[in-house]
Amino acid sequence: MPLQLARTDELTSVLLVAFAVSVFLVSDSFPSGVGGTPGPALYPRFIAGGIAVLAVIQFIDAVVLRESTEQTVARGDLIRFGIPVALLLGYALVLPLAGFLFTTVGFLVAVMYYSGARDLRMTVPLAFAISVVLQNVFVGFLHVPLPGGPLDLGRAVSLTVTGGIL
Amino acid sequence: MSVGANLMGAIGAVTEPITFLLLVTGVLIGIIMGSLPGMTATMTVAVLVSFTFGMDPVPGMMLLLGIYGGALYAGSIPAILIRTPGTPSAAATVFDGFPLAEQGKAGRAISVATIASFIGGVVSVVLLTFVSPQIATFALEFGSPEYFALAVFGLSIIASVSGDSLIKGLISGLLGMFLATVGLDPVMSSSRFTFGYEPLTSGIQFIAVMIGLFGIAEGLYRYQVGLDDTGTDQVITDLIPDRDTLNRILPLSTVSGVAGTIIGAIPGAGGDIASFVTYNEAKRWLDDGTFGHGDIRGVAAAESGNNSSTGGALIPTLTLGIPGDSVTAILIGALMVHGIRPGPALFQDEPELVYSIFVGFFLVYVVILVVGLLGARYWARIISFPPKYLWPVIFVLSLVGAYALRGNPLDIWTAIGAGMLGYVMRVEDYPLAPMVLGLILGPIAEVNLRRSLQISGGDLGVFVENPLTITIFVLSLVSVAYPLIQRIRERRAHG
Repeated sequence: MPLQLARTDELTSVLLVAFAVSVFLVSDSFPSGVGGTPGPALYPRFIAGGIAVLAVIQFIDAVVLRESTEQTVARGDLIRFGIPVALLLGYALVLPLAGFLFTTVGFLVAVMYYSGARDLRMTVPLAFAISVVLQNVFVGFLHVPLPGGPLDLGRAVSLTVTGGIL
Repeated sequence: MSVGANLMGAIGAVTEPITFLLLVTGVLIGIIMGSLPGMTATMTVAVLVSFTFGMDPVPGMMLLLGIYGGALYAGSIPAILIRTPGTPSAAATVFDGFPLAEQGKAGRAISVATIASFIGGVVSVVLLTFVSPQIATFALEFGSPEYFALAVFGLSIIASVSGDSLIKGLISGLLGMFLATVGLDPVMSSSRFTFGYEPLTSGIQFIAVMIGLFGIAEGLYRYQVGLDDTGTDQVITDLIPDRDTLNRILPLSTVSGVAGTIIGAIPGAGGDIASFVTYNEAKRWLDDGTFGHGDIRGVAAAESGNNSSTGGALIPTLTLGIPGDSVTAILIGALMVHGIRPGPALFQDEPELVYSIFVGFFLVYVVILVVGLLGARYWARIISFPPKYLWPVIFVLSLVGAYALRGNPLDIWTAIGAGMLGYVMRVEDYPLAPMVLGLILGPIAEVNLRRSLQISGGDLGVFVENPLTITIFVLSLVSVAYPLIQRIRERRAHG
């Protein structure tokens, strides 16, 4: 059953005002400026004030002028958004632990599978090849460090596969 | 050194084999990505910028400029063949490009688009080369109040580029400015909004945010709407235009190139606005009832305007440190990774880099002309590349790119967070470009505001002492007020 999110502009406006208020509260602890000049709190407060004013205008626009917006979110929409997000978050969590190569192979296979590429005989070698190339380009050619994982196994594997060409 | 001597030095630097190879590679990558519907130049540059972190600035810039020019040009290919612009800036090309394809003249349309892109690009590079040093020399005299005024002017452009979503555009810009305040405050070095989390003291990495906003957010959106395969069975022939065709498009492309460069030089006004304006102007002056029904002049005007905006966008970027569009904002970020801050001093401190950008960008358009005409048949086939293999790779490149910034997992989380924020903003009609302007210009505005007030002892009069600052502030006011007044008028007109 689709989920109706009515008055999204009003909702966003309220959230933005709450955000602006929190900026004011947090910046209260910032040190004050020296010799009558503005301190570190002035600028973020100026920005937060601007956001609050605009949020109120948006709220009035939506309520008084009846320019209200509505979003219909079907269960399928949530799943189509949620699964890639979950996979991305999983990648960020696993990367420092398992290293670039293994995490990327797993991630690519999972996302390709989710995207409709269901033939693992195709996607697994493809994911492995892409990951090895990226690892070697970044680490070997561009000298950009990537997480090696346990015992730097990923780097060892990719160097073995390419024979240390890159 | 004179402009000529600087250019000679830059020619030597850019034509070094590896550097030139990177330039050509960039163009090829740009054309491939730009040919795919929905792959914008901004997204491509954002996702691939990390490849330049380990390079010297000149070769790195050549790669990125190649991608920038290549992607903007190639957006015309799906616009012509399947009525779906590869990049938003190719939207105006659809009007006459697709009707030409329907008439079996897709090859003619692509060749016209390629030649017009070349002309527009070259015109913009010539203007960039000769106008930028003058602006930079003038801007060297700027003090903090002038810089603050300029930053305010840049931010005021948000109102003009927000389209129908004026309030949302302004909110987006302010959110970008706020994100840039996280970390150490630039004057007193006290922590702001870090909540005791040490990695945040160095601030939110701008490039990671860009990767999230333009790479991950686009990916999430694509998955949400569904990954549809696209394709075309058009046969691409007739790629070499005859003399009559050239006579019809050359003067128009040159004029559109000049107009597109000027529009591109306005911060925030990118190729999409430039191409619509040049198309509309061509239609206004030349239409004999054929525009919109497959007139090659429509394709030429739109594509020349589109590509000439690139050189225009580099003018404020290089001379003032104010991005002309989203791509040049990423270029600023890429230079900052190397410790280089664009602005007037760049012309004195890094003349080889600046003039290499001029020469390199000229060569980018030469390569586009050659590769675009020779490879048109192949680029047309790229449209059919299955997205189910493409988007997973884009996700990986985005995440690795964010990590590669400084080897900190925090930047991956930043990119994912920015991706989710960008997705929500897109769904809720909050434009993303203002956020980019806010991210770049926010810190410039703050530093110069506070420095000015330090110098004046807190006296705000420092901002109205100089006619230049007053003029810039007035322009800023006009820039904000004009779209507001227009909106009020439209409302009244519609009752």
